[in-house]
Amino acid sequence: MSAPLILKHVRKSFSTQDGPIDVLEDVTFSLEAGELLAITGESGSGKSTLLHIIGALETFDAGEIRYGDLELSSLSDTERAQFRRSMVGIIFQQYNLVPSLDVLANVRLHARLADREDGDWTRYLLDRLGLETLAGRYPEQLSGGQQQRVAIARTLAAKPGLILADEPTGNLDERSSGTVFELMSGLAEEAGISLIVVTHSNELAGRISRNLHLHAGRVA
Amino acid sequence: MIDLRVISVLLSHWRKHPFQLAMLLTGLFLASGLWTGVEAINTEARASYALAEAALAPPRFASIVSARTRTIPVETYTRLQTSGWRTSPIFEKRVRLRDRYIRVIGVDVLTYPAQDVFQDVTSQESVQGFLTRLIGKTGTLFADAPTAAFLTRNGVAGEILTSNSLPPKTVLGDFSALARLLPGSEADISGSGFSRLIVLENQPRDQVPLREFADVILAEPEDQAGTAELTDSFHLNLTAFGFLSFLVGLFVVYGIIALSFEQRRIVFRTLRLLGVSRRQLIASLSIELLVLATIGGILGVIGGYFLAALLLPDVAATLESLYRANVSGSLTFRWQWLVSGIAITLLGTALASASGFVETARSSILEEGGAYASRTRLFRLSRLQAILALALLATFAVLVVFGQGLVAGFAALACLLIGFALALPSLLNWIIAGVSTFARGPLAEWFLADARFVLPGLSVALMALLMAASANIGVSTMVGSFRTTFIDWLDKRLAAEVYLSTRSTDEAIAINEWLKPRVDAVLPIMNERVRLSGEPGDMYGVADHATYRRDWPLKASTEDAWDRVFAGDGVLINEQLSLRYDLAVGDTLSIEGNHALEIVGIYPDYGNPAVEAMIGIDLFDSWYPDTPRRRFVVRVDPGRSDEIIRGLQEAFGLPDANIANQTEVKQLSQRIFERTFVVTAALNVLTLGVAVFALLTSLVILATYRLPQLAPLWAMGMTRVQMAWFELLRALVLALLTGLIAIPVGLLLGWVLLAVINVEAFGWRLPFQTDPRDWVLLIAYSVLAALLAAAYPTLRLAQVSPSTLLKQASDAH
Repeated sequence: MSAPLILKHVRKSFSTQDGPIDVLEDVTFSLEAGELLAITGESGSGKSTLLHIIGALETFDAGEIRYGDLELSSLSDTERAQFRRSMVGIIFQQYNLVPSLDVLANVRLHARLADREDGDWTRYLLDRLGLETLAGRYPEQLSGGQQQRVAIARTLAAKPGLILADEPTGNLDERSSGTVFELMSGLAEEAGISLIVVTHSNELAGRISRNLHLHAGRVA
Repeated sequence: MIDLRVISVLLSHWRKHPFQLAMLLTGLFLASGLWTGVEAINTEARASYALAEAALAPPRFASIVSARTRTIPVETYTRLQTSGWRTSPIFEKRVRLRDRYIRVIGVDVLTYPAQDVFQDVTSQESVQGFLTRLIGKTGTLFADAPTAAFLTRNGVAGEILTSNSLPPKTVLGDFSALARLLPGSEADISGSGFSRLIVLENQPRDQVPLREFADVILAEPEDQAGTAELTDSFHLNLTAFGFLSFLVGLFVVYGIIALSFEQRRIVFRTLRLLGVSRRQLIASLSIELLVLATIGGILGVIGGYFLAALLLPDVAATLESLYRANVSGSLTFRWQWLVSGIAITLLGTALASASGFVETARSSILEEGGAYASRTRLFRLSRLQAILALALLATFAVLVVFGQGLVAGFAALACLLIGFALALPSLLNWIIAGVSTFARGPLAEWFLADARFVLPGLSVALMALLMAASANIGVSTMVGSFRTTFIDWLDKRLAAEVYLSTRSTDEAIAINEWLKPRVDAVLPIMNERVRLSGEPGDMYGVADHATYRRDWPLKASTEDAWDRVFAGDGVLINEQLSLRYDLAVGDTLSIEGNHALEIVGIYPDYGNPAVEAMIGIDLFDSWYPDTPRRRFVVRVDPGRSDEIIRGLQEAFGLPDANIANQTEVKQLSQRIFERTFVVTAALNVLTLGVAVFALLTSLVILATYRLPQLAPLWAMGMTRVQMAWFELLRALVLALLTGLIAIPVGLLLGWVLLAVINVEAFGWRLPFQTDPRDWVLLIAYSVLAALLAAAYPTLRLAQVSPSTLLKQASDAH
């Protein structure tokens, strides 16, 4: 079930040999339940770090992030894992499929872990994403576009409240990336799932109604 | 915490890679199998010792033993009884029946305290009826089932009941029954007396103190060194070999587990991304490995059982020849080694997977598991490995110089082997880097650079090969030194043609008279049990003859050693006595009875666990006038020895057991010697086999990663067959280098075995003798091992389809 996401004055810095680097400075925005958002920005602007923080993959130094009733900064390591398991779905540029599982098992994996497996929904997703005939194949037997569609199906099959996609089409050609992007955003919208997509492509960002531009760690 | 869904995802890796799973289970099987096999042999042997000791001297009871000889005369026993000592007499003797030695134990069943022996049979009938039968006219003997069958088969009359409380190859019965059923035993009891008297409980208070009996002493239970203590070194040796095999097997396990962790880094990361916590992931991985290790462990225990059953007869023969210990030649399943086998497999798996777990627990959820990360980790690991190697080699040096005792010796061996094994990847890297500077031409440069590149992937297997090959050279050196020295020593020590043991003093006198006109010389063998430097041992008296002056081997002596011995002015001691009490030629030996003599020589005495000394016969007679002359060596033209033996048998009815000719004794000794090393040789070959398996595993695994590296070369015009040849050549070169490094390591190991372990375990030191042909053979084995291991992956590479190479070439970054 989707819920509103609120970020207030979020800060994050990394320590390096040359001293700390501020990656995010005072990032504030909110997202309604079921809303789609594209985050754009140059390399090093903090887009991916922001996504990792929202997905509880990384901690932040200051500010507040609230998803529904949950305050992310107060979660323990185990609670953060539980948050990723049951509330968010993350799609990376690298597809992160389990090489030893076939397509169907990969698609069902997150839903099974979240105890939210729905056979009809899974079949529907396989059909919509053109994966039905590939269900018995292994990741190594698929093209890059097919692997990314499996990763998207896996995330959607778990019915998370929020999907975070980090350059989901970065490894695909222009035509495939357009198709994959459409399918991902269309299916998320159809299921009422909030979607945040990080991309450096203005063309893809233009397909989503709401855009947020990051520049040097700040919302521009 | 335990989530079956996560475990099923982890297990899917093994479903997808059944070869890896088979390799892992085989590695676990080999490691635990060899360990369990050795443990099973040790447990079986120790159980036999415990039974033997319980039958001879129950653990809680003290014994009265002779202070000077091996037996207590019947008169002494009677005097003790009338002086208030409540004892139970025991008579023990090894009797030869057909081709086998049987230990005969005579007891007084009415007082014998170890009633467990009879427990199995008494439950069937009343105690009264049983005892009547036991000492009645028919007479009853007890033995374990195989011995009972053997005795019956060989015409021993009377009833033989089986008892599970008796050790193998042992027969026990009341004195009266023994005398009737085993002719010759009675004469021994009346002639020489009992082996010991067990001091029973509830002794009367008014008994005469034992110190008033000059010829006997009290041995408390803790003073009675049993077979278990004597054979400790032998079993420690076996355990060390079992541990080495286990370690080599563990290298296979480590290689596969490390690979499976490496290949699944993306799976671990994905699971973490999907909400599986770090703790849950570690717990699931632990369960997965626990299940696999248990399966491998159980398979290993089953394999170990069969291995032990196969080797046990040879071990039993070795123990009998070295320590006169009777060990069953058949194996009984025991829970101890099942538990120990599985426990050590689990422990080994935990060790083998420890670095993988640490890495997984430490890794960040966002960390890329790419080639760079992997190489950085490998670099860190190799540096750590080199530091650990140096530390272990330094510990080895410290242990060899300052260490004392057998355990320190084996610890030094472990440090040496593991230290060099860990140093091997760095050594190989340096060697190849050194050779690379001379390389000319692109192919040679590529070949050497590539060899360094694949080294991390093969290093575990090469380390296993180094350990097995070094152990092989070390043990061959030890056995070779042993064989050369032993055969030479045997030739000198068994110079006489015939060895005789008479049954009574009268018979000895008669045989002497009969022999004198027929042979060149009859020399008595006389010995007396005395304390030498405070330790119970044997003093021998020898006659002045060329048999000793010319043939008797001496390790160190004064120039006039024999003159002084026969003049009663010097003593020869065996090497065990010299090493144990740090005695050298020129020192004075203190001998029980307030005697002292200057040591004029030290003789090697291989195979004897006890201390010994030798003096001239005149001095011996003056010190021990009551010692009977009942054993002799006969010097005669070797061609006439059979004729003399036949004559003795016809004239005196001397049984086979009491007479032996030199050829037979030498052949028997050499047979025993060869058999002693059968187990060592078998374990040696098995360890080398495991190393070959480790190499095969690594090469097959490596082959799966090689295509992306080789495809660009194919694209540049190299044929598949050429690439396959290079792959094979690289494996052979690495094995050859490992074999060459194994030679100095193996020789060092052989030196430790001869100069440290043997001295600590047996009390003698063998001269270091090595045969370079063994090294050539070993290098040939190593290269052959690599050839066998590389054959399959090479063949696969030669047959890989062009489309696969094309895909790899176009995907290669």
